[in-house]
This record gives sequence, structure tokens and C-alpha cells, in this order.
Amino acid sequence: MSVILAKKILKNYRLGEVDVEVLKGVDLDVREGEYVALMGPSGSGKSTLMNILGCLDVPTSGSYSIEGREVSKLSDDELAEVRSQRIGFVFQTFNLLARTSAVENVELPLHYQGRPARQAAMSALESVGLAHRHDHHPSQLSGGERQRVAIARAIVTGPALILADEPTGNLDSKTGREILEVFDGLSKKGVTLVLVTHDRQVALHAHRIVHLKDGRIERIEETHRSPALSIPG
Amino acid sequence: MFFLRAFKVALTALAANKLRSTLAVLGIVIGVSAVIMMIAMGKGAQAKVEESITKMGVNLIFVYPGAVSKGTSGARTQTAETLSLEDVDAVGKLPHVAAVAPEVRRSYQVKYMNRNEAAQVIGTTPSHMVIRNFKVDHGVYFDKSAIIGRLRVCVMGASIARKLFGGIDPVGRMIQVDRKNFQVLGVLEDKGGDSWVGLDDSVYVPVTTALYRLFNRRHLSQITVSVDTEDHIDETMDVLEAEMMKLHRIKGRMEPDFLIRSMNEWRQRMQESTGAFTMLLMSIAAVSLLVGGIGIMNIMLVSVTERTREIGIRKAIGAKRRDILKQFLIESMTISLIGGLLGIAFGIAGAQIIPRLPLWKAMSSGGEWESVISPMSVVVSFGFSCAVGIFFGLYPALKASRLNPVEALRYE
Repeated sequence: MSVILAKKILKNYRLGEVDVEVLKGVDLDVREGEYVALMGPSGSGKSTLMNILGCLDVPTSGSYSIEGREVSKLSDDELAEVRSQRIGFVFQTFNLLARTSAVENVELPLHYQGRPARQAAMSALESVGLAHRHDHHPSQLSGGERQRVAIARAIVTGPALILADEPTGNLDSKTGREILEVFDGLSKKGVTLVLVTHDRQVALHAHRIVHLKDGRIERIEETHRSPALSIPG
Repeated sequence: MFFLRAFKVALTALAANKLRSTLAVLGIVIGVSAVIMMIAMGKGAQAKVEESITKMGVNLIFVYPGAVSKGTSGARTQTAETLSLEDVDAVGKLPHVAAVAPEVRRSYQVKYMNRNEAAQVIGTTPSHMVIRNFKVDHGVYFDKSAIIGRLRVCVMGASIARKLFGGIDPVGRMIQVDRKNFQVLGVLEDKGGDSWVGLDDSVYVPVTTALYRLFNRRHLSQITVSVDTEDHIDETMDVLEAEMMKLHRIKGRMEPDFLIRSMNEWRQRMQESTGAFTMLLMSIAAVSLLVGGIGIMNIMLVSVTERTREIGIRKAIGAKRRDILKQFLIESMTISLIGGLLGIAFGIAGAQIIPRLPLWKAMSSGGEWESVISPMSVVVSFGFSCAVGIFFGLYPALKASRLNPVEALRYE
């Protein structure tokens, strides 16, 4: 089943008197368990597409469905509900709440779902190898550890899709590799991942690389990790 | 469980900016404590007035000379000289009248040896003591024979006796009023705190002596009637009015030349004016609570702007509008709740302390004035402060809840 099915996504922004077309008809199909990287130069519409895929924004026109449910026309609160239930975010700048401990950060999405949180949050932290630092505040954690907490927060609700926006952009290369290993691990467990990056080495961790240029998909590249290549037929 | 966690989140957020939060709380503390203190002072004043009215005597009806001149708000003309001792005798025979006393007053310098004090000289009868609820501290009150004989004797109020004689016992001594000698027969018990009525500062002489040998007039300043029970006051007022009309031969459309007021009417007027006084104090205090609320709104608006990114994060991970709204509302309510509780503590403490301050004693002309803290004022001011928290927190919270998540996440 398609986790992401986007058809003819158009997005315009009004800047003063003129409409700027940021996305000019994007079609994208991401199947369950796929690991997709979005690449492109700045201004290619990566972030805009990411926001739409993450239900933070809606397209000007076109259709977008997550797990078969059309979400392009939903209200703010309905989008929040989709984000809460089906999507996990990992950001370049981690975006953890500063005055809140690691485990409380991970609990937050569950609180907004109204579900019991502590146990699930602890096991999510454990799966990223940070259970022992659960009561540390973000300022007491290294960059890599913060990103692990952010990943734990993204996976704690068991979402259909994890969106990562330049997750290694603020990390040194060694820590970045460790974070990518975490994503590889998630992918192996069958989690659907979409990762935005401008770094080809990072993108090569995905099954497919979607190249964006000027608001359109330029080409789609299958990597050596692609199940389509490694399993012939 | 939800509220406990939400409250903890709010406290954490407020603790992040201690000085700012403390100032916002302080605004509410001042507002709430001011409301409680002001109501307590107002109630104290009311209780004080009630007390002195009771001391003046209960179930009283007053008859004044002159009539209400039309078009003015209850002002009466003082020029008319219409009340006489015959009126007093006639009124005394009416049903339900327990006692009746004439009063004729004038201010004099009263002298003893080389001392000189301003005092009100009141000509009256022994019934006055009963009606006004006085007791003789020592010596005796003048009796009927003093009235028949127009004797130059007097009974002194406690306060004037103290001022004029210092430590000496005045009984048996002579004082001079208008260069005439009066023998002091007795001193009245101190009523205390009645300075505005002036009964303790008065010298009482037989009414006949006052009229014919001192003031040289024929008419009374006032007749005071005491009614047997409170239930009979209205009835007696009607009977009294009819009797006075008959005595003064006032018929048909003629304006009466006298005015009848009951103690209840006085009490009502006093209550109205002290009630207005309390309202005035309270509205001043309420304004400060309002200002405190504006303080909350101010810091909440700043807080929302500062925490735009946090709001973006929360929205990205699934917070709905109402989740954000609740979060910020609970935060502003926490400020007003803490401020309200502290305000109650300070307000109650302040209401106890203020009447004991020398400055306050000086302002309230030396009278003892206790504040009265009503549980109602505590409940109302606390509820009001919570309402202020909600009202002034609502706009910033709404603003936060409506932030666009994409823009909020991009905010630096």
C-alpha cells in the first residue's frame, strides 16, 4: 500500500503582488516500508514539499493521501490529528523542548493523543540507546544524543511515516553516520522514511533518491540499497 | 491527572522567567489584597456607624421644626420655630410612646475657674437619659423639680467633664455658661467613640432653664420620641404626624411646619453613605486588579512571541489548537491563582494591621476602627482574580493557538 500518494501537487505563495509557484506539479508514490531521500538545490521546493508531506501545510491544488486517506483539504485541527496519529518528525535543529527532560520530550506526542506515556517513551528511548539519559535536559545532551531523543519522539507513537529534514545537517560526520545507522535500523524494521538532504552520501542510505529541481521532480534514482535492485525480478 | 501535568508545565514555563512572572503575580497580589483590604475597611466603617447609631438609642423618632422645602433633596428649613413644650406633653400621651424628650441646643464656651472649653449645651428632661441610653457615672441627673423650678444645674458628658476638670471630681462644683453659674449634679458614663454625635461633649441642663434663663427663646430644636417596640415605629409615626397636624392646626393642603424622621431612616441614610463609601473603595481596588490583569496579558503576549518555536514544535508533533489554547490559559490562570492566594493572605494581614497604624488613627479622628473581613469579599476577589486570569490570558492564548506551524517552526 502507498503510504504517500501525491498527485499533481501545486503550491503557490503570494509574495506581495505576485504569486510564486514553488511546486509545479509533483507526483510521488512512497510504498509502505520504503526509504526515500529528497534531494535538490536550495529553492527547489524541498522544504515546501516536506511541509505538505508532513501535513504541516496543504497544497494549493492536487491531491495527497496518506495510507489512502485524502488529506489535502483538511482543516488545521484535522491535520494536527493526522500529524499526531500517523507522522513523526525529525528536524535539523532537533527542536526539543528546552526545559523538559529527554523522556518528557518523548512523552509529548502521546500526551497529545491522550495516551499513557511513560512506559512507551522509555522503550522508545531504549531503542535509540538513550534510556540511561532519560532524565537529562536537552542542554545536557550532545548533538547526536539530542537527535536520538528527537528520533525516539518521532517513533514513539508508531507512525505510518517518519519525515526527517536534514537530520544530520547540524552534526559532525561521525555522529551523522551514527544517526543514519539509527535510520537504517528503523528502515530494516519496516518503518517508512522520507529524508530531505542535500548530501549525496546521506541520500545513498535510502532506497530511492528523488531529485527535485525548480518545483518539479527531475528524476528518480534507485540506489544500491533499493529492494528492487537487490532482489531481481 | 491532566490538570496536574498542565499545571506543572505552566509552572516550569513561569519558572523560566522568574522576575517577569513574579512581577505579573505581584500585580494580582496587589489587586486582590487591595480589594480585600478596602472591603474590610468599608465594612469596618459600616459596623462602626451601626454601633454608634445603636448607642444613640433604638426605636427613636425625631421631630424637627420646619418642613421639607420642595424641589430640594430633603433639605429642611431651620428658621421655623414651631416646636413647643406643649407638643412634648401631648406627644407623651400617644399610644406606644415609651418616653419623649425635648431638646434645645446651642454652642457655648463653658468655663470652670480659668479653663475654657467649647461645648454644646442641651436643654432637656430626665427622659433624655433614658431615650439616649445614658447612665450616670457618678452624682445624679436633675429631676422634675429642677425643670419646674428652672434651676441652674447641669449634668456633664464624660468627655467635656474630663477636658474641663482634668482629674478633679466635678460633682458639686460650679461652671459658668454665658456668665451664669450652673452647679454640676452629675457626670454621665462615657459612651466612647461618639465624637461625631457629640453627646459626650455636651452639657445637659433642664429644658426650662435653657429656654427661659439661657437661650431666651420659646421653641425647641427637636423632640425625640422613643417607641415601645420596633414593630410600632411606623404606626406611631403616622399617629404622631396626625397629632402634630392637629396641635399645629394644619389642614388640607397646608404644608406641615415640622418634619418627622425615624432612626431607621437615619440608619438607612448612614448605610447608604457607608455603602457608597465601600463601593468607592472597592472600585478603586478593582481598578488595580484590572491593571494586574493587563500585566498578565502583557507578559503572556511577550511569552507567546518568545515561544513561537515551541508552539511550532508542539503543533508539529500533534498539538491541536485547543491543546495550545489550554496550555497558555492554564499558564495565565496559574499566575492569577498564585497571585490570588497570596493576595488573600496579604489582604487579610493588611486589613488587621492598617487600623492599628498611627497614620490611620490620625485620619479616622482618633476613633477605634476595626476592619471587618467578610468571607464573601475573599471569595469574590479570588473568583474575580481567576476571571481576570482567564479574560486577559484568552487573547494571547488564542493568538498562540492560531499560529501557523510552518511559520512557527521557522521562527528564530
